[in-house]
This record gives sequence, structure tokens and C-alpha cells, in this order.
Amino acid sequence: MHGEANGAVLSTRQLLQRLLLLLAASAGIGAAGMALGGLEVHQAVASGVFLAIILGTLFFWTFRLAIAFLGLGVLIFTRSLNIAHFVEAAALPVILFLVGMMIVVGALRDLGFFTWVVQALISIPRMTGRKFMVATAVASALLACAVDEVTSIIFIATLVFQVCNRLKLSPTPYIIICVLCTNIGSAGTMMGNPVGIYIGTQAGLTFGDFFRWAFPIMLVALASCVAITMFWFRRDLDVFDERLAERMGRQLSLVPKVVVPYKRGLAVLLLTLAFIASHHALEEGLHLDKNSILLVAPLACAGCIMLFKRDRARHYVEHEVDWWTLLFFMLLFAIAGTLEYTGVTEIVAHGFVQLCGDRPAMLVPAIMATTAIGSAFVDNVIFVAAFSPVITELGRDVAAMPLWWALLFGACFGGNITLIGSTANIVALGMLEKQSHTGIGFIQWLKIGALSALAACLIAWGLLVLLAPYMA
Amino acid sequence: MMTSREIRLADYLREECILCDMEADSRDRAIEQLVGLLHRHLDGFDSDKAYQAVMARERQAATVLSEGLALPHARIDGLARPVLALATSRVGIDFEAVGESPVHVMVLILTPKDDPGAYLRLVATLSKTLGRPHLIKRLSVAADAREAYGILTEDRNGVEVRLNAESVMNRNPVTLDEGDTLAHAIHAFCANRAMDIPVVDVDGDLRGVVAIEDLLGLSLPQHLLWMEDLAPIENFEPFAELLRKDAETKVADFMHDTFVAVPPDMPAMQLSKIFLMQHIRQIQVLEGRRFLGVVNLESFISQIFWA
Repeated sequence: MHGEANGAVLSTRQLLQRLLLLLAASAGIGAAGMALGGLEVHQAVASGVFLAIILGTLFFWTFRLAIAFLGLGVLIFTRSLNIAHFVEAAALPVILFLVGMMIVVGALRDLGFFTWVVQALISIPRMTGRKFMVATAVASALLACAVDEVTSIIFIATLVFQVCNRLKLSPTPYIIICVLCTNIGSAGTMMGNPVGIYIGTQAGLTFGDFFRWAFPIMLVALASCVAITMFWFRRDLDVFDERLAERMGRQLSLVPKVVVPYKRGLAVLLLTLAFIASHHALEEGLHLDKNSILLVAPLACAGCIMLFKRDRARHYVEHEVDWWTLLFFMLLFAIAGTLEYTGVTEIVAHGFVQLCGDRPAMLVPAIMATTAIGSAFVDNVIFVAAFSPVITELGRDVAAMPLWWALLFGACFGGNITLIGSTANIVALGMLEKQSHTGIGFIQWLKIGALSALAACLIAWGLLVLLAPYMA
Repeated sequence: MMTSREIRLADYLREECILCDMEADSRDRAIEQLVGLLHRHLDGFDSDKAYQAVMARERQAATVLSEGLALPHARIDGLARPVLALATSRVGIDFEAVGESPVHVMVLILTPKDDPGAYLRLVATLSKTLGRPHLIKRLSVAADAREAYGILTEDRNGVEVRLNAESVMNRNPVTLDEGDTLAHAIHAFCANRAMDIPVVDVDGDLRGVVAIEDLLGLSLPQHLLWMEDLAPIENFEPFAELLRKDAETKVADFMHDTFVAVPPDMPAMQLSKIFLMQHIRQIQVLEGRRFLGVVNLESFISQIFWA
């Protein structure tokens, strides 16, 4: 639903009509909450504005930031939120973490790191179609872990288009494989997806926690996703194999093979990762607040990069940082924070406990399923922002860590269900339409997307239940 | 400068300034004869200076407007009003324009230096008049000046001059077919010194455009362009493989289908804006999907400023 085109093609009259409808629906739900659910005025306003944000991203994707601005205005005017709580809830450290990572990614591109990854993939010895696709899919997942899912899919999709162009193949099945694996991979670390770092800061989880618990589960889920997609697209892969063998037989390469000077780029990435990974030890050694080094590590690395590459510093800040999205995230976090501030999340948490009980064995699948289905249609950051205070509330009575992981996996794996489920899907589909003038049908995606998401969620559920006793 | 105005060729071209089936065997000789003819009947300018000015302009860029037609021209100091001279050649004269066939009709245009818009008005009128079906063919076989003058002035009505895409476009640019090979395209770019070549199908519809950058893009894959500095890459011969396959790679594989197209009646002022704002070198002129011609920035500029 949140294709870039929607909203942008509407006439002013149509736009106003739909906005009024959105306003009426949000206000109606808020009022119903007051009348039937016993919500107070501020709670009803906060719920209404949050619902408007959800509907806004569903039906007015291109105007989501405008709707978030207006929503914040309503919250301040109605005293449902004050400036002090806005600043507190806006998760500025998370935003700055993402700014730092985006600058580092820009420098990695400049330094040829991604070029080197692509060159390494096409230089696999005795390459076959299946070998190439498995390597590319795994690389897209690991790249998503190391940088982020959108960056990963942009670079991997470019490689897939290039190879398919040379082999005169439709890139659609191979793009689907890579996108599904990228979404799975994005759950492996706190850098993989904005929800990862947000959950990390809200739950007080460290990089080490992610590496110990989330990364192995992600790897198993990734293996299942690769296996399922390889089987699903086996006929396409047969054709890939034939064309590749034919081309190799004519001694033609897939892309020109070059020796890329990758060492500086790799060093930048490894140093950034090492700095982030060592945050917990440094914080304890230096008696700093929890996750304080984690959040400033990418900024410090970005600062060093901007000093060394002074002539590109302004370019990195102005063009590599997606300010539009980050502003939206900031307002979204603040508006979701209002739900907690006004006590709405407490009510939702109690409702959840009443419905599912307070046993992790029930709460884990319930949270994962709710988040996965929600993330399939709405930006997963919205769901995670709204659910985080609920899990904080639930964590008062039960062990919270499995619930946080359930939230993470639901949000990341749920993105595979529909073609609008994650930003990586939308970016890849946009590239596909631009490159080969073909699209993917909703049902065509849903079949394999839902299957891979279901398998990944079942694996995560099973492993979380098994590992929960050890997550003290 | 680009305003509507009624113009009649008879106001600028006299019957005695028409030379049919001239004997010149080269462009320079033909222009010399045309300047001489004009000078004999219309004094008031220095013929040597006029010849030098016309040749200087011609050397900058050939003035072949469409198949068989050339409009050599210059702006002259001291000229009271624009003047024209016309010559025809049955065998045709090589105007040294890359990719163009011999010229059968030449119209010399001399305009006052202090009236820069005069040339544009006359070109618009001439392109409309001489663009009538088979007119160049009829003129080139006219027996004498009277017959040629009659052909030119048979439409007694004045031509409303509105400088638009149709009047400034090249009606006969070099084109490619989707099925042409890369080798053919490379030859077309080099032989015609072109930067952009339209790809037109057998029905005369525009299918896409190949820009000179598309050849580079074909050999330098996108992932290499991510790097800020490619200088450290050694032992790289990106073009060798490209050239090994030049007989099997088709134009359809590397042409792009995003181009700027305008209808023939698009005013020249709008074309100026498109060139300026979109940073492009070529505008396609289409009627529906049918390809009519191109407006190249270089020739557009030369028509406006170097007239």
C-alpha cells in the first residue's frame, strides 16, 4: 500500500477528501475508545493520532512526514504531550546512531567496499547458477547485518540486474530471493534494521546480546529461507545454470573482473564494527551509562571519516543521510512515546495478558504473530515503537528478553509477507520496475513471501522457547 | 525576436537573384557564385567580406537544414534589409556535412548585423515553404529562374512565422534500428560525430535513444561507478570485451527509453527552457509516437546566436 505513487497522483480535492476521511476515522476511534474503552481524553487523543500515523503510512505514504508533523501539533495543542517528553521520547540517540551509520555507509561506497563485495561474488570459482544465487542471498543477509537492509539490497540488486542482463534472464525471481534473505538478515544485529537499534536502546540490550541470541537464530532462519526459495524457484535456477554455462563456454564473463582496492573500506567497516561490538566492555570499564558508547560509536567513526575525507564531508551529511526518513522516525517515536506517557500502553499490556496469559510460551508467539502481520502492511518501525512500551510493561511480571526478541523477529521476518512489508522490498521493487519495466504481483509475492516468513517465524519461536531459560 | 509575423519570400527574393542548375562543383565555389549574384543585383555590401563571413559560419557547422537543402548565411555590417539568393544544382553539391547527401537547393541569407532576429524569421519561413512535399525536387529540376520563382511564390499567402520545434529541427538526422549491432552504432557515432542517436523502428516510431554515454555505461558496470576514485584500478581493459561482442550486442540492449519529446508546434522559447533546465543535448520531435526529427542543442544555439 505504501508505494511512492499513492497520494502523489491525487488531485487536491481527492487528497482533502481522503485526509478528512482519515481524520474522521482517527477521531472516531479515539472517541470510541473514550466512550467504550474507558480511555481518558489525553489517551484518546494519543490513540487517535497514532492511528492517523498508521493510516497515513498506509494510504498517504508520500505524505507520512506531513501527517506526523500535524499529529505532533495536535498532541502538543491538546496537552497530551509536552516538549520535555517529546525530546525524551524522540530517541535522539537512535537517530544520531542512524546518521552515523549512513555516513559510514557513504564512505564505504566511496572506498570501493561494496564494489569489492560484488567482485568477490562474481569471482566464485567453478560458478553455477545455484552457487551464485546462494552466495548472493547469504551475502545480502550478512551485508544487511553489517550495514543495513536498504543499503544491502541496493548493492545486491544492482549485481543481480547486471548478471541477469548479461544472461538475458528476467531478474524477478532472483530479486525476490535476495530481498527475502535481506529481511531475514536484518534481524541479526542492531545495525540491520532501525527497529534493531530501537529495541536495543529500549530494552537495554547490548551488541553482544544481539550477537549471542539474535544472530544464531537469524542464521538458522536464513538457511530455511535459502532452502525454500531455491526449491520454489528451481526452474528459474535451471535456466540460470544453462545460460551461465553457455556463457562461460564462450569464455565471456558476467561482468568485467577487476582488482578492487578494498582494504581501506574493509578497515573502516571492521573498525566501526569493532568499536560498536566493544561498547559494553568500554562502558563498564569507563563507568559510562549503558549503551552510551554504542550510540555514539558510529558518530565518532563518521567524524574520523569526515576528517580524513574533508572534501566529501558535506556530501556525506547532505546526500548520504536520509533526513526525510530520520525525521519521520523521530516524530514517530515521540508520538508512540505519548502512548506510554498517557498510559495507553499499560492498558494494551493488560489486555494482552488477559488475552494470552503471562506465560512466555504464549506471549512469544502472540507478540511475534501480531508484529509480523502488522509489519506486513505497516512500517515495522511503527509497530515496534508502539509495542516497545507494552513489552516494557509486560516485562515487569515476566522475563522480558524473549519478548523483545519476539518483537524483533516478528518485525523483521514479517516484512517478507507482502511486497510492501519492508523498505527493502519497496526499494528493490522500484529498482526492478526501473530496470526491467516489470513488476511483481501482490499474490505472486505473497505466496513465497508468506511461506518464507512463516518458516522463519516458526524457527524463531521454537528456538526462543528452547533458549528462553538461558536468557537470564 | 521570436514573435509571430507575416512574411512573404517575394519581399526578400527577387527573380534575378535565382540561379538554376549552377555549374559549381564545390560548396565554396557555390557560395562564391551566390554572393556574386546577390552583389550584382543588390549593391550595398562588400562581397568579399560577405563571402568570408558566410564561409566562416559554414566552417563552424554545416548549414544543411534537411535532405538536399542548405541555408548558408551571415550577418553583414551596413546591410539595409535582409536579402536572399537561391541556386539549384541537378547533380548536387557536396556541402561537407557529415552524413548528409548532396545539396540540390541552396538559399543564401544575408541579414543586417543589427537585426539578429531577421535570420530566424527567414529560416522559419523558408523551412515552412521549402518543407512542402516534393518542393526541393521540383526546384532542383526547374528550367529557369522564372519557373523556380513561380514555384516558390505559388502560394500567394504570407507565411505566419512562429519559430517552433518544426522550424528548427533536423528532419533527417542519423538514426538507428533496435536490431542494429553495437558495431553499427559505434560506426554511426564516429562517422557522424553524433552524441545522441534516435532509435526508430520500421513504422517510423521512436523506440528510444542511444547516447554516447550508453556505450561507456555498457563497458563500465554500475558497481564500479560506486567508487569515488577508479584511478587505483589497474590491469583493467573494460572496452576489450565490449568490442569482442560488438557484432552480437544489439542496440535494444543498451538504448535508453527515457528521452525528452515535444510536439512539432512546441514554441522555440519552450525548447530553450527545456535545454536549460533539463541539461540535455537533444530533444526529440514527435507527432504521437511518429518520429519527425530532432532539435540538437548545438544547431539550436547556432541558429539563434551564430546566425
